Amino acid sequence: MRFGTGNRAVVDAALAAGCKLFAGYPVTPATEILEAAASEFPRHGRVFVPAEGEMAAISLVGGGSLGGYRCMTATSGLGLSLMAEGLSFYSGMTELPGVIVVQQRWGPGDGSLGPGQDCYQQATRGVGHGDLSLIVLAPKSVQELADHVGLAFELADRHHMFVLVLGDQIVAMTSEQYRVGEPAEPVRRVTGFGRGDRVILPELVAVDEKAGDFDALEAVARRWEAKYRQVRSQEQRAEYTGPAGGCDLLVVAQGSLARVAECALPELSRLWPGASLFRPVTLWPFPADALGEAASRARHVVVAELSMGQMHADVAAALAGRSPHGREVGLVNWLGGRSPTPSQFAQRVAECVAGSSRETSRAGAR
Amino acid sequence: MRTVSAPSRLVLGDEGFDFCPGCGYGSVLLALGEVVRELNRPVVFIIDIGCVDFMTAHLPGDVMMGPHGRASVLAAGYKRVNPDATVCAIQGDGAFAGIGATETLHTAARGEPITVIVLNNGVLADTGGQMAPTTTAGQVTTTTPAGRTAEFGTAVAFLEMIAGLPGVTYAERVAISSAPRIRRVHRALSAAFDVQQAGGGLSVVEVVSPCPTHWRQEPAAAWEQVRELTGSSYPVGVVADRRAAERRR
Amino acid sequence: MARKTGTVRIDAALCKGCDLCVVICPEQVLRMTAGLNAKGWPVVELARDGCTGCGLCAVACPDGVFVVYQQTPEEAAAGS
Repeated sequence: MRFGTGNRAVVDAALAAGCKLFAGYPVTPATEILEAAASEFPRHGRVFVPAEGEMAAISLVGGGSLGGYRCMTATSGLGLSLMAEGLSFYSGMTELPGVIVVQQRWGPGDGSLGPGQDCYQQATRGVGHGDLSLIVLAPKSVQELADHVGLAFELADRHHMFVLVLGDQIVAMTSEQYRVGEPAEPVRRVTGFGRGDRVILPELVAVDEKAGDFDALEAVARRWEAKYRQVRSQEQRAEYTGPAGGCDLLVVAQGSLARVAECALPELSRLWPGASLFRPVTLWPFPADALGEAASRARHVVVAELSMGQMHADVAAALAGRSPHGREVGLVNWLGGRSPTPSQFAQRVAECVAGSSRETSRAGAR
Repeated sequence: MRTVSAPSRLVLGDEGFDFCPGCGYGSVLLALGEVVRELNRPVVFIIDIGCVDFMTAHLPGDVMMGPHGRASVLAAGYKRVNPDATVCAIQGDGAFAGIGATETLHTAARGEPITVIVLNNGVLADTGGQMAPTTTAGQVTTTTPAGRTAEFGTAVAFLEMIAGLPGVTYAERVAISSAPRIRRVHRALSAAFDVQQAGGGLSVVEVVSPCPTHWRQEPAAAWEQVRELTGSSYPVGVVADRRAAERRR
Repeated sequence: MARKTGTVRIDAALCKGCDLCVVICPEQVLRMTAGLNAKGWPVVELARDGCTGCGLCAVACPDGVFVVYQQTPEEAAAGS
């Protein structure tokens, strides 16, 4: 059993997963991952490069992945913005496996240094141009962060794409106990590239060189479409905390805020017996079916997040805007880098539900 | 009669090259074909976005096309996990000295043990001939329709700028503007790959190439233009040579 | 001493009519024709005797059009 920060756990988990190369650039709150990798990767015979910027970092990862090995980088939202083109090329177009850990801090631009969950849309929708999706995992604890790094490498290899582990400043910098395997030797993937067979990548370019017509290009794209469909059906993950039967209140929260929500459930249960928590573990593919299941038994649904409602949009779409009892999907949020205590969380949710109840009864009275 | 010269069918393929008439890239590709044949080992090519993409199906090895400007660092990542591989990045002057300048600088600073071939035609050719960092004063391009003026600065000779970095083991500029100079392309490329074979740092060959289409000149006149460029902004010759020091290490 | 002689084989399908070979040939034995190949380019042809097999056309050509042959006067006399 180890004790350390989430950022430290990321490096331990990467070594255990046989990651061969880490390249990155410092950015709060992910810098400690880079620094731990700086000593641990060489110590275990791996490759480490302190790149000149995020655009170089993602291309070093792409090059290492092309070379047949598990490779990763770590950054925050700012760096993810710079890596967008690279992710589109390496994951979307070339279908190379790779892992990227993003520790969110709140805010557009430079933001603040507190936790945020406002890279949700970026990670699940806008991570690069073109029809492009990365599997996005949202860990709530240091242990889950470590588990997700290992899972990310497996999913990346299985589906030939990059996987994004979306943490935040809290999970990055909080110290907790965690278990992780011993470092494992990197194993070179079997790939047809580099043997001198004049393989051309990405496949779309190879196809364009050979056939050069839209039928051929579309055929490649349809294969991608089918892959994303398969991933969407196979890889949804979520966790439900609450009674098996119905409940008056379903809170939807992910990542570190889900742990705050867990701690707030007892207080919320005093007002709404059986108050429950639905926690998406994959943000992409979004666990819409499981959410629909859980919400079908709830009177109120409230989304809690550290953004202006980015996950709320997905929840609302999944529930078509209404819980079964006809109330809007509520939103409670915190901005600026602040994260609530369980008590503050419970109070805000209560206000939200009370407000929505008043709205409905006023509407009923008209 | 003896055959004294025959082009490499491996790079030529069945239908020949797709470059414009008189483009220098074909000469580079033919030389590269010979060099790789002499090298007698697989070479991995990482190519940038640009007219170099017309080389894709002709390159004598595996090819990966990456994002614009990042060919050198993509190649470096590949080489770092496969140190025994022979890796060659090919990019235009826009990638090398402009959008990828940061990557070029730090690939050189880190002495990444790859070979970079730069095709310098003074414009962003693939997108229609816009001003590049290498465009010279007074040169007309689609984004300097009245000729490049001081408002947009002067041409950047990036090879000289990185030459001072110890990580650059070998840097040479050659040109497509006469038979002796074209023959020199082969020797420069061989020297560059030899550096990689010997475990040295970065090796770079910049080729000043005529671009008749975007220079709006006949090919023979474009060779004249290249001679002018090599007499002013882009002199041919070895710009950095640390091979002796590398051998001593 | 008599000079070497030579000839070239031209792959007209690859020629793009760029004229670099015509300009560089020291013996001026090459000429651009008006005929167009399948890709629509004018193609070069060997216009007359006098080729020495120097190979400059092949060096200059960016499209691999030329295969160059050469023989010494002795070889020529021996009828090779």
